[in-house]
Amino acid sequence: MKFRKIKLKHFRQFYGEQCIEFSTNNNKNITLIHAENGTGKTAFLNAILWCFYEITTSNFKDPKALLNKIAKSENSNSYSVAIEFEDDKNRIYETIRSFDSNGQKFRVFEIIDGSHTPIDNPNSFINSVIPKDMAKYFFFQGEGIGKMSGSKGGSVVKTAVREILGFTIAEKALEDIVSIKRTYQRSLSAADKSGLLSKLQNEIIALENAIERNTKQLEDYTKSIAMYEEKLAQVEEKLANSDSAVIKQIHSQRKSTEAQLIREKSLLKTAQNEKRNLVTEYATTVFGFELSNLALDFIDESEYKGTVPAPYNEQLVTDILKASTCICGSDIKPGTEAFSRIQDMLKQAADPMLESRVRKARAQLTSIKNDSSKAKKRFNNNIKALADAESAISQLKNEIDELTVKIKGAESLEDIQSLESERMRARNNLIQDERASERTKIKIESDVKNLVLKKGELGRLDTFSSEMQKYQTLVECVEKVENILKSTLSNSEKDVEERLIVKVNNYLEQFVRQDYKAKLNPATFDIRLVDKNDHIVPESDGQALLLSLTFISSLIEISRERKNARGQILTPGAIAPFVVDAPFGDLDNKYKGHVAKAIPNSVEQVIFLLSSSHWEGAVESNIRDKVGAEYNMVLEETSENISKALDSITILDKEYETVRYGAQVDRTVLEKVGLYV
Amino acid sequence: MTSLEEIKKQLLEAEKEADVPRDQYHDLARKIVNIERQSFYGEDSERNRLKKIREEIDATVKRGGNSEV
Repeated sequence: MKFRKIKLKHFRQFYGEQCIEFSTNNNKNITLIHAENGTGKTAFLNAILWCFYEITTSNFKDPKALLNKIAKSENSNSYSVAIEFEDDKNRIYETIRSFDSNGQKFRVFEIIDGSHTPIDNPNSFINSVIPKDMAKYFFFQGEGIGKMSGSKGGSVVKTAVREILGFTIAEKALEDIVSIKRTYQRSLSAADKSGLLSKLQNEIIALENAIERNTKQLEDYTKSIAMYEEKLAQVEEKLANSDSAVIKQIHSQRKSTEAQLIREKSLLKTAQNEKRNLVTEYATTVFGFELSNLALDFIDESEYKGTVPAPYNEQLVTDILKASTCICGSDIKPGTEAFSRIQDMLKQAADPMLESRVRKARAQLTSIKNDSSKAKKRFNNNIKALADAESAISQLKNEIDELTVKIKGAESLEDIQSLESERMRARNNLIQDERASERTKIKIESDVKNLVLKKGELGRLDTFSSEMQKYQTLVECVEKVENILKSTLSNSEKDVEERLIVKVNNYLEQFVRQDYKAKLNPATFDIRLVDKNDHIVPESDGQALLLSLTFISSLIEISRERKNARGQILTPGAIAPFVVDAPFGDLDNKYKGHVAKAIPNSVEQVIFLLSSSHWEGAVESNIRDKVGAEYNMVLEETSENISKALDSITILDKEYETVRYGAQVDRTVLEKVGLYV
Repeated sequence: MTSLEEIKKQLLEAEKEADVPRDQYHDLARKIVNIERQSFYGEDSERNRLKKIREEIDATVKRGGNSEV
């Protein structure tokens, strides 16, 4: 989408009807509008936002008073903004928002061969061209959308990613889905006469609510942990770079002791795990040791007595007696001596199954006996490892405490003492949040398991009436949609986070060469500038603006890539003009030129609103070849110029007024400087 | 050998496929988001929104073969 022209009528300081034709040329894609402070740059940007969406930027004063004051004094009550634009298929449209005695009107027309055909549902149409959520990134107020770094940086970045993906609508759908699910769940409970389902249903709702609440809480803990970790790293860095050699040395010693402490803690953890494994592995050996000795003694004694294993097979002896025939073929009749002797053998005979069992028991008992010596050795080693680690941890903690006292005791170094206190606070908060985060994770895991169990119970209930079945089916259907929406949002967000940081770094490379890189903290979403040595750069206003512009350019690029996004759950991206009000204000002079040159190469159409301090010098020389249309905002004043110096700018060796005195009315006029295409 | 034309054809097919919802629940999710979009951008009254969403859910459940709904 490209802007073709804008017509302003009685809109703020633009008295009368004024028009600008933008450059739609692909090579000379910049429309440069010169405007000194106070002439109407911000009003111009807001005219675009108001026309499309009836919104204004936060720095736009009196946003309700849009009618030009002179027009009002002349009893006119109408004002309007009309924007003509073309889409990527070269279709031409005109958007008009106007206000008069009949109220406000918003219309969009398609212009075919000069005739205007109204478009139905103009709001939806405009939002399909550039969604309202994305507008502030395209129509960009140079003071920035806020800092990308610092305590609020994360939310700025996260919000931007969500808005550029069109999360607003999908999240509203998700809210409605959950609310509808709750009504189905309540109806399901109400339809349950037995009360069984109602109880289960309430438990399910309570678990779902708890999971949602705790998941949000966990996100907060994760952010907070990342924030304290960063704070701690900053303090550590300051201490490491202390001017005092003594502090530097003690700090370095403490760092190394802390590293040792981490190693010892890890060893202790390994030893504790080993202890648990040993108990599982040798529980039988430990508890069965005494028993195995007694049992083996019993078997050995029985062996000694010749009862185990039995000298005769019970089955064989019984078969001989039953058949009354010996295995040698002789007859053995009951009552004979031979019969009595064989019958006596039964007293010493045994079942082969029993013998097999005894053999197995012996093998098991022998193994327990043999394992015991191995177990003893391993337990002893483990006990030693545990004791060593515990003792080392205690000693290292003492050492760290002593070193901390030494640093704190640096009487002449108040800044060190305050750094130390800051460090202590950050550490304590970090530890507290880490513990709370672990507890929350465990709670979520347990609730998720319970939820699965409860849902399983619900599915197994056989007391479902047809009415209950109806609501159960509805709940299941809604839950499926809920999961689809949630996974779509989460996957897209992750995908864009990854792409975003790559793009930010690509732009930084163009904007500032190799001076800085950007780092995104995945937990807090905070974007930081880091130098060549990976140290965080303390951010000046200029650097914050640099990061802001880099970020906006990256978002616009992502939006362009998502123009044809399919799937229809998230809003497709947009290709739109980049209208920038005062983008180079606080930017360090050496970067102004690079940034100005890079922006028109990354977007299809640029409209720069620049004051001479932003434009002269590096910016002018870097963008001149790309300027297709150029305008000057002139402030016309009814007063006479008595003592004031002439206000003018020089463009391409020609002087242009920026303020005109002795005019008929006080207003701003848009004057063409040149069209170069 | 894969010609440029074949690649184009495959891309067009993939594009068409992306437009076709994976199942009735994806289709329902898309419809609900569209109802939400219409309401958000002001051309559909907020009062109607939940009603329309419920109707879509009912329709999907019916199509799913549950005649009781």
